[in-house]
Order: sequence, then structure tokens, then C-alpha cells
Amino acid sequence: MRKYRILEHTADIGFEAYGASREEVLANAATALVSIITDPDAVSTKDTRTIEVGADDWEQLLVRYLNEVLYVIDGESFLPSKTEVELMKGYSLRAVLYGETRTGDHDVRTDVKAITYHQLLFEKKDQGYSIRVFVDI
Amino acid sequence: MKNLESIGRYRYRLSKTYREGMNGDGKIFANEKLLEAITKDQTLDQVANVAMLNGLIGDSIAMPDAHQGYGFCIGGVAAVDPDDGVVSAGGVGFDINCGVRLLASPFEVSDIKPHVDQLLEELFKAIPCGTGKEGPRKLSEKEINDVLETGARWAVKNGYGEDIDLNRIEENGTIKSADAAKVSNRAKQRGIKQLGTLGSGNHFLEIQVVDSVYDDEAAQAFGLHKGQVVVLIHTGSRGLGHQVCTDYLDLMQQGLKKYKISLPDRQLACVPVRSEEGDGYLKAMAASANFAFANRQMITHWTRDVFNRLLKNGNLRLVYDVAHNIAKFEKHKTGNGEREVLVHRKGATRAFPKGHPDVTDEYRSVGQPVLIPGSMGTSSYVLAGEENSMNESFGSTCHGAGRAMSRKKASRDISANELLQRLNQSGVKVRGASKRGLTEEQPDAYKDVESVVDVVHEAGLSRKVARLIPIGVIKG
Repeated sequence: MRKYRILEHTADIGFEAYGASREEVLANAATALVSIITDPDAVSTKDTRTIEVGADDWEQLLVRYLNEVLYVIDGESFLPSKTEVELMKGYSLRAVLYGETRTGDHDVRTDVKAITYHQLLFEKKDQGYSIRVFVDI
Repeated sequence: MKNLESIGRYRYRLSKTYREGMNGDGKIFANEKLLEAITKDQTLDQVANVAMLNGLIGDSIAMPDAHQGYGFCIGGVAAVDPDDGVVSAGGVGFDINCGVRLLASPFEVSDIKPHVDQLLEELFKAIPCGTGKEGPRKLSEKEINDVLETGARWAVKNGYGEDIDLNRIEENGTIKSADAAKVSNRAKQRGIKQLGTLGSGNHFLEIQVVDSVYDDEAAQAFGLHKGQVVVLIHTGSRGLGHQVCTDYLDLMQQGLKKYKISLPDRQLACVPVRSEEGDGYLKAMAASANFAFANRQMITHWTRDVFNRLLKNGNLRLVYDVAHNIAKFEKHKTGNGEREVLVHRKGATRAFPKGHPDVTDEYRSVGQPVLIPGSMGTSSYVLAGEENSMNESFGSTCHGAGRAMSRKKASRDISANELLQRLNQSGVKVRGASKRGLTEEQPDAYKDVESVVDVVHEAGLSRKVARLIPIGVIKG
């Protein structure tokens, strides 16, 4: 099964992510976000960052979680290659990002300024879950 | 289209019957061709959504460069009543005080032509640009707070520029209501690293030539003449502003429940202007705007430094600096007489006319300078604010060309080498941090800036003063 696909309109860029479980679709959403910035497969998994985040509903959790991932990338210059997500009580999660500190060798295509609520979707489908997010670049 | 009618030259009305819940009409400034582009994406829906904001005064306005954005369209203007209206973080956007600054050189194009390559090389070295580049000055916590509260004044005090520069910046480069305590530590951390950087995307620095003058009196007042070399800088508040918008969007989502506000689009999240959250946002937004003024001031200083090093008597005079993503309290005419309103400008520029008390002394007789960057390698414009902006658009005009093509298509349509060759053939040299960044921002990806400017000129929102064409481009 495809993990994600990039969506692009005139001035917008975003992605859809898919997964059999909420954990999987959230992990794939982080990889989709990273793929807009750089090639996640070209980043090693030698270091980790852990983020914990909680919310009042799934959509809010999704946005807050991706905001945390983005802060790790832009604020801490850490590029994640792969992500593991563990759901906690209520609408909260712990995610471990495997990646490395950004160096001049990484081909970073663009900065992502922020995660938006534009046409945001986090839904259950017959065969799992699907997420849609647009970002500002 | 139903509910959309022409209401005279270059004006269209989107009736409030378009969608239930609109508190006013939509008004679109455009010609037929630009309107066609505007109706192709979700711009009109977004104009209608903005008209649903509580306390909207007058129309929800779209400029001729309008295109679909997040929440508000890009090229949108909306004024609200400060007493019973709302402030929306999405109504300013993530790049708070993204703006433009123009520097005038004492050189003619013939003086500069032989030195363009060298100037670009040195500017590229002196000004950090592209993704992930850090500024050269590592700020302490106290210093970042000073930047946030005093903006360009902080920069001048620390040796980046001259006192006189401050007179030639919107708000004199310092929005006084800023409060650094309303900005999160996370935003400050991003800001500390990125102060004094150009960034990537559509941000640029261009060496340009004044190629046409349309209004001699205003051009003279702005210190511009045909054949003169100028520098245009387009950047904003970097990761600090993005983080402030992100933080307050989250807070405003919670505010929707607290203040029982229902909205058609969560990206429009808003809270009452006179609420703790609204007050916090406006003070943090002002602080981010100050950061952007300081950022452009530092980049100006390094640009001057390079010109002075390479060319004799190369002093660059600051012409003006305007914001095009901002919300401000201003006095405007309303149905209930002149009063203070909160104007959101998302991809729109203040355009105060001659005689307005907020136009700096030296330009008051001709109107506030308005700077319209074109896309990379095409023309940019200097305009002057006109009286009609006060009657029809809350003292606002357009901000640029507006994107017309996706980044992917733009990159697919032309290779970096082809693009560089094409630009080179038309006399434009380019120094870019990323080849992909170049093709994504290629000129064909944008609407025609000339027709955008013609519409605001004909509609009397601002008048054409001069056209600038690039000879050298620095891209992030």
C-alpha cells in the first residue's frame, strides 16, 4: 500500500497519507511532510528525537504533532528519515523521529513555513485511515 | 457567474446572497482577464468566507493579484470593528510583515553593468540566503526581546544603517504596541538563528534599473530617475513569524469554542479583538513585524557595505519599506463616519494618499510609496497611494503578481539551465542558492504584474510612478 502522495495546486502544496492504523497513518504523514523538504531516504537514522503531544480531538492532534515535527526540522535543524508513533491515553501520542542533524550535504528543496487547517482531513476508511494536510511554503 | 456583477470599471461585486452568513459583500478589483483567473480557484469562496467574520465593516476586498490562499485569499483586505469584531491570525498569514524595501543608488545603469557579476557574488556571500542558513549575529535573550519591541530602531542602534532610514519605513520601522512577552520561546529560538537572512521561496534581492517614469513629481520626491540603478529586497519575519502564527492559530482554535464563533474554514480561526487572546496575538504580531523590519534593515546594511566596497561613493539611500502581510488599527471612513478599524492586509499593501498624516513628511505632498515586486526577472513597480484607496479599499492596494502555476509545473516546464540562459539573454544575471528554487519561481509561474498594476492605477487605489527592470537577482 502506498504510504503517501503529494498534492499540488497553484500556490498550495500538501499531501495525503495512508495507513492501516492511526499510528501508521500519523507516521506516514511525518514522512510525507519531510518529503516536501528533502528526500527522506537520503537521510540516515543514526540519531533520534522524541516528541510528545496531546489535543482535544484527532484533527487538532494531527496539526499539533506535525507542528512539533516541523519545529524539530526548522528550529533544531534535525531531519527525520522515519517516524514511529505510539498512541497514548485520549488524544495524545509519543513519536520517535529517526534521522540526523542537517548538514550542507543534504539536498534541502524548500522550507515549509507552517502546517495549515486548509481542507484538513483525518478520516477512517474501509481499509484503514487517511490524512490530508496542506502546508505553507 | 451568479451573484457576481460588474459595478463599473475594474470593479466586481460578489453579492452577500452568494453564501449564507456573509456580513457584507465581496468586492473584487480586476479586469476581465484577471477576474477569469480569480474565478478559476477558490478565491471567491474565500472572499465570501472572510465576509462572514464578526464585525466586518464594509466589503471583503480582493485585489487584482488575488489567488487562493489559506483561510483568506492572498490579495485580501478586510476591516473589522475593534469593539465587536474579530482578529484572525490567518488574515495576516504565516509570513508576518513579509514586505518590500527599495534602495536607490547614485549610479546609472552604464556604471554598474560591468560590475554586476562581482556585485552578485559579493552580495551572495554577505547575505545569508536559501533554506537553513543562519544569520551571523548570535543574539542573547535580551537582544531578541529588544529586536521584537523596537524593530528597525534596534538595528540602527546596533550599527546597521542610519537614523534617517527610520523615517522611510512604514511605522518608522517600529510598531510600538509590540510585546516580546507575547512571543513564545520557541518562536524566539527560531528568530535568534534567522535574524538577518533572506530565506527561500519567493523571497529575493534584485539589482534593478528604473526603466520608465510615469509621474515626474512623485519620482523626484522618491529620489528616482530613468536609468538609475536601485536595489529591491523582498523578505519577511522568517521562522519567528511562522511560529507566532502557528502558536496563535492553535490558541484561536480553542478560542472558537470559548467565544462561540462558528466558521466555514478553520484556517480563518479568530477571536474578539478585545479579548485576552486577541490582544496577545496583536502584540505578538507587532513584535514579529518589528523583527521583519530589523531583518530588512540588516540586509540593507550588508548591501550598502558591498556597494561601498566595490564601487566608489556607492551610498544607497533607503527610499521606502512597506509591509504586505499585516493587521493594523487605522482611521477610516465607515457608514458611521470616520473611526478606528482593524485592517487585515493579507498580500495587500498600505497605500495612503498625499496629505495623509501617516505619510512621512518628505513624501506627504505626493503620497506614500508603494512597492510592487514582480516575479523573478520581470518588472517591479513603484506606485504612490491615491485618494480612492481611502474611499474603497481601507487605504490598500495590490502587492505583487500573484502565482498562476504550481511549483511542480513551473519546474517541469523549464530546466534551470534553460531558465538561466533565457534570463541571461534578456540581460538578467542570477545567483541562486538552489536550482530547483529558481525554476519554481520562474516568471511564467506568475500572473502578469503589468495588468495587475494597471488595474489599481485605473481604479485610483494607487498611481504608477516608475517601472523597474532587473539586471541581477539573488534568490534563496
